[in-house]
Amino acid sequence: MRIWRQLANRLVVSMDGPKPLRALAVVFVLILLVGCQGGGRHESWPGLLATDGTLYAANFERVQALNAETGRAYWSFPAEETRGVGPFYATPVLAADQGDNGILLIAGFDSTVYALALGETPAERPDELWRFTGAGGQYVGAGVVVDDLYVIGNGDGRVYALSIEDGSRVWDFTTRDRVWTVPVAVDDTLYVTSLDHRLYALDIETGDLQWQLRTQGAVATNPVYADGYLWIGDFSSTLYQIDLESREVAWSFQAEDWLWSTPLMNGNVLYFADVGGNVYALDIENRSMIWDAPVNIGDVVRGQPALSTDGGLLYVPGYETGVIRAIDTTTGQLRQTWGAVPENPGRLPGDLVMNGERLYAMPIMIPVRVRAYVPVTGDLLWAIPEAE
Amino acid sequence: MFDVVVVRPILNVLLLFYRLLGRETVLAIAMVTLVLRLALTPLQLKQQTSMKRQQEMAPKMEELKKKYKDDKEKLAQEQMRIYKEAGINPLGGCLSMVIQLPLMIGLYQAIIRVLATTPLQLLALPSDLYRWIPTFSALIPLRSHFLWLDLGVPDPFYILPVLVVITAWYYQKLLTPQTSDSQSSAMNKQMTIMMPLMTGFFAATFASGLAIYFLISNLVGILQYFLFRRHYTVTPAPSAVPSALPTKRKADRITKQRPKQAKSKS
Repeated sequence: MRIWRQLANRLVVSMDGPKPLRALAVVFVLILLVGCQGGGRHESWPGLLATDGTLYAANFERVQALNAETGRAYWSFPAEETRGVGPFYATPVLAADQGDNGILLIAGFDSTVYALALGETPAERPDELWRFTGAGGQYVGAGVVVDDLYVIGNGDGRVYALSIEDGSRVWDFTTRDRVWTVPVAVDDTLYVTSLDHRLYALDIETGDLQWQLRTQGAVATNPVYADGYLWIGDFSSTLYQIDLESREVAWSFQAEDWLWSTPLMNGNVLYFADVGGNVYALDIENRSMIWDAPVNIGDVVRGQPALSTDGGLLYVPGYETGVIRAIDTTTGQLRQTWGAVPENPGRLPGDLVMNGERLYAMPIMIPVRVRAYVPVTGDLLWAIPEAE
Repeated sequence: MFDVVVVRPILNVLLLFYRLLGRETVLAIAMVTLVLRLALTPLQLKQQTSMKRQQEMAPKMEELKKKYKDDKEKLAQEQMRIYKEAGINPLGGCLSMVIQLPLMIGLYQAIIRVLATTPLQLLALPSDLYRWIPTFSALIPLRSHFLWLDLGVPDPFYILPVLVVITAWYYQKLLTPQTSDSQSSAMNKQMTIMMPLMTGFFAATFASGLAIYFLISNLVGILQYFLFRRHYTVTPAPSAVPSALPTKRKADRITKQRPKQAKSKS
């Protein structure tokens, strides 16, 4: 008691006058500073493009070309780490038929699209062909190559069609909110979804609006096309099957949570997952669920799942634990868990990429930026940069 | 724990106002700030009254300090005794501020989260929403454009930060007590300049939705000051230490009599 009394006495002496206000104001400012979410490096969800023998991995402030077999880095763009470039969310896109050896198109959170003319060999450093800086917002989703156009949505709410040859703007179309998804081209029409709760159908040549459809929630999943229908999910947890001929919703399904992970089509089965970690398998012919109940992996799912080569296993990236879970596609049973590193698991917000014999994942918030696994066994083939 | 108890309720109330007020983010931020500041008004007034009384007794405390400058223990005991006799809890003002601070920080955090300027921030939002209100998910993302502002990014023309600095300076000036102590006076002057500049720096650096919050908060604070002026203004006490210090009842009577005196003068 005596100690407490002495402490109280000292406190009274120290709080005499206007000092308490000052002290508390300082504390307030300090807490504000702690609460502020600025500073440090801006993490993204990285995108990875797998081509024959070469990977193009976009993350943080650079894009790297890697040997798909060994993980050895061929080159980085920009060559040196440059402040103000990136970070990159959008997966690089290869316009294989353009230029002498193909043109790699990368879009950053720095509101810039870069076009790189690839060399004769993957190891050859590419030349920067052009850069487009005409957009007012950040690029989150990648674009789509349609003939000699690169069409990409931006955080300023516009969709830009750029000439792949010189990066000039051919047309643009304005939506009411950010466009974070990859457009889909079907015949002469381009389908774009936006956070403004709409699907837009645009003329590919001119960018003119053909028709639009309103959804209940914001759309952040890339549209998936199959047999005359588009499949999209939104933040109201609704999966839509949209008939492109009648321009109406043919069927919809209410999931448990936000739909942000892009659905994966395999034959007649559509796999999709919600942010609450529920994974669904839908038979699109008779619109019925294949599994008795959705499989809950106990994690947030944002990235697109991937399928094993034989279609027997569905690999689902868990965002918060940084773990990949394999689900038996026939029974809906959880089979394996990979990449569990309890002391520093990182996170997996990006899409998983399956390329023949390897499954690639790009964790964030840890030194390792790309991991290559052997499918089925889950053995780690390589990881870059090597964990210290 | 802080998230569940403070940030999430405020965030969901913000969304509720957003839905009720025609999906205008600025109006929703303004309403939540207003409601929270009004709800905290009794606590703030209590704090101000407590501080005012302490300031009124400051000259007596100065004399005690001189008297017992070599005996800190005795000084503390005497100060405690005087506070006790006057019915003042020297920590009372701080306790009310301790309750207010988490709420204000919670509001600040809720605005940052709900504006979600990057995809990763937006990905963290679902866990903060009350799922038993199904329409909330369909409201996301909030409309971020207002006049020339994109609420998710700093004001490109620095109009809001300037307004924030002006209002913060004026509010701070109103709150700053007059003191005869030169050291305290200098410190107060520094605070009157530093705090608005710091708030202005935040307003210029972070999302302009936060600047809106700072601005509304300052304006409500100024309004509160003029509505409840008598809780803020200090009447200088006589410099001499009276033989018998005023009791709490006496102090209350003095406070109550002041408006009448002011009226009769006018």
